[in-house]
Amino acid sequence: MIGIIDYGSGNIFSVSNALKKINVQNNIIKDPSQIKNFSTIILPGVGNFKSCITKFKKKNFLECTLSHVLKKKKLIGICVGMQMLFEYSEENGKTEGLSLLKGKVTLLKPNQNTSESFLSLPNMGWSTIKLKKNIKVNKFFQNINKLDYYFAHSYACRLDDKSHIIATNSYGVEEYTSVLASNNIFGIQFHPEKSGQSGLQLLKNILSND
Amino acid sequence: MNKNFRIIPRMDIKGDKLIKTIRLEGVRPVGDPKIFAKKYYDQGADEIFLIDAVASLYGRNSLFDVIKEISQEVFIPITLAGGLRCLEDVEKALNSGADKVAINTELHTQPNLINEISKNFGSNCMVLQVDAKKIDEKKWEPYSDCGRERTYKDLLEWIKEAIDRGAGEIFLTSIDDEGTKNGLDLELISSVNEISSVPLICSGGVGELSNIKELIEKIGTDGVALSNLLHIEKINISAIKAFLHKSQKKMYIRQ
Repeated sequence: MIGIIDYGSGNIFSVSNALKKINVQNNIIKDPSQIKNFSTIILPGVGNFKSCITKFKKKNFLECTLSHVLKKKKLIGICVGMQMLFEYSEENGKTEGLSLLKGKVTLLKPNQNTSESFLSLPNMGWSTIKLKKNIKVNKFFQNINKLDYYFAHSYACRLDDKSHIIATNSYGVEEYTSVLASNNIFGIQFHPEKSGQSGLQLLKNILSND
Repeated sequence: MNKNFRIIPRMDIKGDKLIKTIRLEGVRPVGDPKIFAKKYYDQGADEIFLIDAVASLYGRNSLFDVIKEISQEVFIPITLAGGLRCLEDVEKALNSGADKVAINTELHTQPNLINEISKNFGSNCMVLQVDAKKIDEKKWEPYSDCGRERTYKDLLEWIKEAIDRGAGEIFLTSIDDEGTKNGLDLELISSVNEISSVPLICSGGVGELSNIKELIEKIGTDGVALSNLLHIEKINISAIKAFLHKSQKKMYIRQ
């Protein structure tokens, strides 16, 4: 059973609707003590890092989530949910994250040293991701023809360990991680639940690899 | 990689019907919004923009149930506009399946709402809806209440202020051209594009595919919102995208 953490931030219903569409049973977790009943939990996140992490901690999700991961059970962070997995973010001043992965979250700088047309922030819209060549990639992206996904963010994750990178994305001169996998921890910067068939299939692939 | 250009169906809703407006006033019922939204999703729409056409006038929110049903079958971003007045409304919209909210009227009396929404839900989900009316050469005024009320503000100053306060996207409609099929007001769009550091979506006046091609080639906004071309002319979005893919190389069109 898949659980979606509801800590008061994030489009939990969109994620839930997407899972229903691919016939994956899921529940919304409002009470942290329920986390232990789930094999996989999804950590969504929309908005700014500081506000998300503050709400997350205030609703006492921190400890249960960490112990879920320690038990080698699966955790999938989406958008800001992915960013929250890292040590800290520079959004609104340095704010600590869950420190499940080594690295930080910093502002996108798409226009640095370039004569290209001015690129706006947030980076909003569809973009074609680039896959790394490794074995996990093949599993995640099987049966997906178009690698176009919907992004809505101004900050991106900078991983210390580059071997966790599954896919990257470029925005202007920026190249950053759009999908990562580190043992039982997964992160997706774009919104698979809002990326049409390619997004639904990706969720299906990640969740069916148990 | 080239900047991405979004094709967004603009769906004005009255009660439980999709309608088509002319200059934001005249009304013609078109059909069931749920069926249309699903159809546009299947055709390859990049996003859906839903407006409760009467909410800001009669002070009620009726679109939440419609969006709840749509979001069970449509897996692309959905923006909800019309009659949103406070943080609770925004939360209700997001909990009903919207990914972003677009606000116009309320912001003219309560501009701080932009700061609050952006702080609580992220600037990504705070779309500034602007209905612009030309008042002089290269001068426009934002109107509120679906294009009925004057605000006496300068359009560009208002947009700059809203971006400073945390608006993450601009949804710009030319009142003078909306529903006329006369083509987009490129002068207006270009003026806004020059001062905007956030994505810009424009609407109002697209009568044929070459209007969109011209927009991309001459300005290159982040997207265009279409209503007449889709609801009345019934042009398939995949055909629009195929045309743009072939006829221009400046921007990336998701196929």
